[in-house]
Amino acid sequence: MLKRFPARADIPPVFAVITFMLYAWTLVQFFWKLPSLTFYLYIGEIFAIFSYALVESLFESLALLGFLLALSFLLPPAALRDVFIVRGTSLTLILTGSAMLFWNRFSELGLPMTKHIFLWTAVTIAAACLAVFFSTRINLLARGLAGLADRLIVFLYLLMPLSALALGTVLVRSLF
Amino acid sequence: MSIPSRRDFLKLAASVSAGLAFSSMRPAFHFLRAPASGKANIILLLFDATSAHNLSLYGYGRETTPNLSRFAERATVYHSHYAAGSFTTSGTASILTGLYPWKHRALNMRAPVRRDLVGQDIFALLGSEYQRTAFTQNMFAQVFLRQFRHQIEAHLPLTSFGLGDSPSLFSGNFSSDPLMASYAFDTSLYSNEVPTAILSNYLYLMFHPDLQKYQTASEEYPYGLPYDSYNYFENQTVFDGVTQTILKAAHEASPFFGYFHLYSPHLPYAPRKEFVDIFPEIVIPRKPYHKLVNNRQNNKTLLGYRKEYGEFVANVDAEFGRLYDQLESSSVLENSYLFVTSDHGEMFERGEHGHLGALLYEPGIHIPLLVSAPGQRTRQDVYAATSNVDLLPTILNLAGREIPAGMDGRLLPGLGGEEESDRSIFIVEAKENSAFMPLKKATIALVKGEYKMIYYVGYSRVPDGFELYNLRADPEELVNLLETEPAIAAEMKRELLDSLADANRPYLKNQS
Repeated sequence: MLKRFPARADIPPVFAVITFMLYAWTLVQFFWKLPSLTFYLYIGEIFAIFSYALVESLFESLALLGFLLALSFLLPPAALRDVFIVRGTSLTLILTGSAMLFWNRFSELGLPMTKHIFLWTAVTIAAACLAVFFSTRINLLARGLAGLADRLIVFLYLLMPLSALALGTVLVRSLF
Repeated sequence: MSIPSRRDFLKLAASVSAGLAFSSMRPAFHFLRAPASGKANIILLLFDATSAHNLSLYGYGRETTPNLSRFAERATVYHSHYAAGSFTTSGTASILTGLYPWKHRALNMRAPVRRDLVGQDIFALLGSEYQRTAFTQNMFAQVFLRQFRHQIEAHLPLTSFGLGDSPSLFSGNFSSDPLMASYAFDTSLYSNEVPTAILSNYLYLMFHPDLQKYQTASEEYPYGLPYDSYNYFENQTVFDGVTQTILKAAHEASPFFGYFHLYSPHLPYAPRKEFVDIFPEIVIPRKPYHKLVNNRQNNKTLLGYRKEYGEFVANVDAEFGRLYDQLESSSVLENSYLFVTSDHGEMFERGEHGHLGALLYEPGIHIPLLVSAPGQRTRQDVYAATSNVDLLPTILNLAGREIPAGMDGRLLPGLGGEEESDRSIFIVEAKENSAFMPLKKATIALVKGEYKMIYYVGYSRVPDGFELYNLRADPEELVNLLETEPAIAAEMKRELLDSLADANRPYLKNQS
């Protein structure tokens, strides 16, 4: 059954892309709010909030990775498992990029944006299918995606220890 | 501490509603037990953003508050009552701590109070002798309830009486650390905020795509449904929920303290259809634009907002009337103090709309206060200036509790205190200051007797300076007496600046 999942070495590069995208968003939002937080919160409290934000990003990252692994499990091996790095990376970029664009538009339009959410999702899925299809057929694109995923692994060495620290902080604060 | 779940509440609401449906059971409420301690219950009912200037109870030209006027016939009515701050955070913190904003330091939007004040708040000071219940629909006030949560037996969730599609507060999953979790997660989808958790929020919207239906006009709500920046609600449901919570608490053997901070008539003004277009046009004095107004509105727009606000106030007043009738018929008022007030007012003049600006003119800070004592049958009127910082010491006094030294508030006249004609009342607006630094950019008002001084400091658009008004002769604050009343101006200037210097002193060491 484990054979239906991608090779162990193929998972970290895709996870690196996921974390890079989601943590980048979290960090931008956090630092956007930071100046106002410094007006009324102590530095320890700000670190606590930062910890919650990092832990939330960790869980969203794991959830998205889990989703990709589930797809890999369900689809024929040639569809995703055998080209997990390239197609996993392209799927991640499309899905997270679409969500980022949505929220960017949402901040301008507000709730009326929700009436477009099904269309938005449909377009996202279509774009993801196209990306999956072409990502392995255009060599330059495939090499680019694989190279990107490989280079982003370095962020895991920074983000995972930070997330572990944040998780510890959240657990301590939530339990005691 | 046990916090009733939404399900618990709905069970309770359903059972009490069913009970009320059988009229033969209604007399049961007449046998409410008096608290075993002999102490009266204390109910603090707060309507957000309610300006005394738009209530017919206080002489407004539109009949917006017939039910408050009815309640006033058995209450003490305070005619010169002031909020201590001009928006929810600073104004509410003053109610809960008995301190002016420059002391409790909840100066900024969503800010908490000084951490060392936890334990010196209204819930802690009342003590466990009282069954303490708290509910707010306002996220800013929720910050304080989370700070003081260890002293609140029943803290009803913010979304308790909202419509079913309301997003749940993610921070509610962190019961040991809800305040920090709230700063991290609680984003208001309705105010177009961008969430940190983009994927989970996206999925949430996927399953609730019709949320926007509440924003659009309907037959029942021509301006759209009321919402509190986190969830949509109907005032009828909210008031029913609060009423049932009070009735349930009144059945308990121990006295209870209830803090109910309701969002209406805060923006968006969303009255039900029967309150729309009910008022005739009235003459409103036109006032000059103020340079400190950020998003200047023309007079016609302000008149439109004022009309809608009046309609919403009338809607809220009608709901209050139902609540009042139920409390009266169930005899709860026979052994309860009922405080009705607000956290700040609302502006419709000088180009300013709302309450988030830097101005401290009367509509923004002059708020209602009515207090009915147990069994009170007649109306009393108090004309001396009072402040929301007075609520805490007064409530402590009524509860037989000690009033800590250093509190800014005094006992309200008629409830243990005396009318003081030369009492100094301060109102502080300093949301652009750090809570940890001396106030360098602020508007501060001092009300003393019939005079009011306003001090602007640190703004780039207006020079530092003062305004002086005689509120009795010039209630619209149109004639600045700074030059023509030099003696009074000098005396009030000195007092205001001395008080500001005292408030700033503990923070001078933080200056670089």
